[in-house]
Amino acid sequence: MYTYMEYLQKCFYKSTSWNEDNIFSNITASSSAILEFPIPTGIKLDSSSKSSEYSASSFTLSNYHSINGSLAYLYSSVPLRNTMGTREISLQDAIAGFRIIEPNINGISSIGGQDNFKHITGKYDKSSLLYGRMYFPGSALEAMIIKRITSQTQLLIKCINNPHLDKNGTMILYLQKNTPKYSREFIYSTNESLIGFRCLYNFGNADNANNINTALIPKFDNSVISIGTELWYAARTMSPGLSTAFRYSTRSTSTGKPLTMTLAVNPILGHISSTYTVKTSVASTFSSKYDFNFFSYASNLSLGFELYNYSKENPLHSFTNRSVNLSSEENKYLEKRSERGNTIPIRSHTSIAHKDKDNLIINPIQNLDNYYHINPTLLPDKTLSKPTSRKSSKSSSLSAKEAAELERLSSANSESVTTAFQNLVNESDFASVVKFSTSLNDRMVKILWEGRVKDFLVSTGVKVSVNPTTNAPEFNRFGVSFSYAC
Amino acid sequence: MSGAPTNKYQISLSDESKERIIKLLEYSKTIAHYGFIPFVLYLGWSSTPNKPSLFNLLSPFPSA
Repeated sequence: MYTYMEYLQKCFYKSTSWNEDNIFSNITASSSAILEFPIPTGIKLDSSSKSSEYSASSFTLSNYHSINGSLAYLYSSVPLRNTMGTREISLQDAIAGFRIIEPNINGISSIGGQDNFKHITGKYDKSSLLYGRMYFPGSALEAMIIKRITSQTQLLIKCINNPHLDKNGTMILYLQKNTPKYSREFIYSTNESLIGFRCLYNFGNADNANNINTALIPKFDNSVISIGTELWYAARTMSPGLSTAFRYSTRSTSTGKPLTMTLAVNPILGHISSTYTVKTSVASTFSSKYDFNFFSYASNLSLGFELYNYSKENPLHSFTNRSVNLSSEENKYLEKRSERGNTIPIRSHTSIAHKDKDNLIINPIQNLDNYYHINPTLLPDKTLSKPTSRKSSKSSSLSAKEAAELERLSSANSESVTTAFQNLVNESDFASVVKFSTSLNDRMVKILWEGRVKDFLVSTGVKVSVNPTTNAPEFNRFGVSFSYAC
Repeated sequence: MSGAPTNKYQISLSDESKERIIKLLEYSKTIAHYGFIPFVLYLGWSSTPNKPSLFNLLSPFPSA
């Protein structure tokens, strides 16, 4: 579960159209969310409030070892309007899970074309976010500054300082450039004078596919290939570091279900890690990871899944007849719930609309009959590709009218299935999620339950592992965390 | 004779001024440490059109 401050940071990135999936360190985000989720320790209480659109505060109290806590404040130069408290937030936004990698990054072609994109980003060119957290007892400070230099470049400074320790602080500076095609980062850490460089390149974006006649070839623009690498050099100890990673992310053309495969290699340590993560249905994700070291021949297989439970409340706001393009599991669910009128519970947007009428979220699916009707404003701008498609259709044997019709049909089909699945994932109203992960070599099992209890978000979990010497199972970690935000 | 060129580019400081600089750096570090959160709060307060009260801004608990 994200803390409220992490959630606000994500909202800041979203509203300034900064794509986090395009950063090298997030390349395995989907699999690590399902396999390496953290288990809370002890009892933790978290209360946050957004005092205005520009500032927020958070207070944390926990009893890990002794009673300690922290007080955090955040400032954003961009008004954070569409944020939600724990009462109405969707679990998909509050909990790290499967990340659907968008082929059209930064929303260039998905929302209203290039001009609109420029308009959006130009507005937030110099935006900044400041965050400070002070821990007590001890008054250690954790600080973060995000300063956008241009719409695609930002400076990120993270800092920890403890006045009661001798070597009392460390600071990391990131200079990041994030464009739809690639991202680059220069990193400097005062600890060990570490210098780093990370980059990530994307292949197979949809803007190239627009120039080819889409009627004649199958659409593969749902997939993105990303290749990235990182180089490190610790100047004080003169030790280098290097790793490379590859990510392939695609969506099924028939069901719209996304899957992500990654392969990460560290040639210095001889470590290879491959992951496969697939969203098997709207409410479930499965992930597997295989680690291998070609120096020691040690290997490890990790498996994990997450299962969302639908909310039993709010049956009013729901889509009917959604069984068109869905898998048998959703259809089974619909059949089981036929007494409820063949509906899947979805989140209502009215609660947000009530709060702020200027920031209505446009529902992408407007009509509730047997077919998906995508809001035309959310579809990619086809005007740019029209002249090229006409030219190429002349050279082929098809008439211009036929080709145009074919193109319309093919684009409508693949758009509707993938966007419909994604919208269903985003808008389903879930009450709780169960995460499970196991690792064969480490001989451990982790179970985590996260969900909404009244207005609180509660997260509780346990980690059980087998003691390597006595072979007796033991509880390593156990905890409950409550958080409230408004 | 030979020692002169190496000292050419070094700024010679007395022990007193060295101490003063170290002290100054220490003070600035302390000010940055305890001043960062008030600075974040001030930015939040100044950019909000209807200036919220100090209690509203400070309190992490939901206010009625």
